[in-house]
Amino acid sequence: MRYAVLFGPPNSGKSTLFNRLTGQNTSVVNYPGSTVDVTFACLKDHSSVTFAATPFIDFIDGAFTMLGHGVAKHIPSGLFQNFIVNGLIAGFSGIIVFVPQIALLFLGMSVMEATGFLARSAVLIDKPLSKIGLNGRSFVPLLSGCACAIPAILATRTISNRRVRMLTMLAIPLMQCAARLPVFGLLLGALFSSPIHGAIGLTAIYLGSICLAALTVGITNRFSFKNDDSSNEFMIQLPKWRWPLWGELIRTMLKRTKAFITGAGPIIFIISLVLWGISEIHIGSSPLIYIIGQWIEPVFKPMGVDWRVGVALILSFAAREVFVSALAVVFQLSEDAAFSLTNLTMTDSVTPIFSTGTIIELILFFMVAMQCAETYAVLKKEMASAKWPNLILIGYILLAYVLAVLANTFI
Amino acid sequence: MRFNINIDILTTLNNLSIAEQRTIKKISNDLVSEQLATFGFHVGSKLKIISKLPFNGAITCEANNTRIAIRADDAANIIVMD
Repeated sequence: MRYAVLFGPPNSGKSTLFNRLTGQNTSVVNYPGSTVDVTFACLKDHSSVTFAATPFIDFIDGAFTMLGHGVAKHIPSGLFQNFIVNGLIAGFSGIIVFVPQIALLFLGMSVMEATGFLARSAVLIDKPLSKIGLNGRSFVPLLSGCACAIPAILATRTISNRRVRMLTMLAIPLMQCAARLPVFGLLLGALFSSPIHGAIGLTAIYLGSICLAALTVGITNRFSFKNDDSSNEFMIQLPKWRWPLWGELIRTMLKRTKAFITGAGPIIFIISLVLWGISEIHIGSSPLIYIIGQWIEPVFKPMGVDWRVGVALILSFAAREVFVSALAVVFQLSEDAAFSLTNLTMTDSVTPIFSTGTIIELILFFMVAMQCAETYAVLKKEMASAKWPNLILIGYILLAYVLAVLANTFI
Repeated sequence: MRFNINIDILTTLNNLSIAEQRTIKKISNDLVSEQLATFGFHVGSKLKIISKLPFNGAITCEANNTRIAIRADDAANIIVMD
């Protein structure tokens, strides 16, 4: 076998040439700003991404609606037709409809990475992060957490110091992932009529979660790692500024979008089918979803919501965006109707469920409660222990619950 | 009788100003030394200060056509000479 060595200054295109020659899409250098293994994140302005993706989202949504109508015409009405149209097709649509938005987010992230912007951002943010026990290398995973916690947790592998890595992983679930955006959009839309107020509300959510993450990490660093005197040094190689290569950007975007679909897609699909199943299967005269809801209602009563919101909250632990479709199912609404939350009432048909206090408490709950079951699984694998992931899971859910109950009591 | 005495003026990296060039004489912290070695910086390397962030922030320096940013506290472990 003959060996060839490829070397050159940072960001000179070694990885690009390597991938061109071998036909692979391999990450070669393992630091931010170059061809990093896992560095997914979001653009600062989600609304512009959503706006740019809207025509594609509408097209996909329309195509699946037409497909559902078309299939329904050829299958006799009944449970099987219901399963195909509202279970299978709706479940598959729930995955594909997110793709344009996610792909655009990944494209924006790849641009920032390829130009050398991310490494410089890590340098700028190092000083404030060092005050709470993190360092500049924590920046890329934390930013990535704004898109999806799973690749963000994997991105902490570039942090060599164990304490810093654990603290970064502790903070990631408090970053607001893209999956929470549909939920915040729904809740803020019901809270504010003006889009400007909604945007201010969303900014407050992001700033609030950053403050909470800083507080949590700072306290944990001070008390849980007080005997850990490992040094928290920081140095990073700075690649030269360069124009990104479009072919490389598109390939990276497609690779990451595919990873997102194959990672999160099956879960969303299965949850959609489970939701369809528990809302259609009856035990006696009551649907299964009603029986489950009645059983868990005492837990959610202090939050001021009824069993239907409780069911949607529990199901959203599989994937945050499931909350919206789960509300639509449990309130037996179309997806569009689910967006007018203020019209929904308790089972007495008079008391509105979503008052200002309830919406704020749900926002607080979604801000703090850990992201999803997959995040827990990846945390467990990367922390190589059950203790910390369990503490994070229980701690964040308890904190979210207490904040929600307090909000319901005082607002 | 005459003696020629060479006096090396030693200081640490964080005390240098922008555009100053010095040679690394010693790295007093093993971890910092290890990390610098991964970027090709070692005792004897000639480095140049490119920029310094305000409020005792990170220092950007260059050696052998490689540019790195290093925290000012870590830079204090790098002893340099003329």
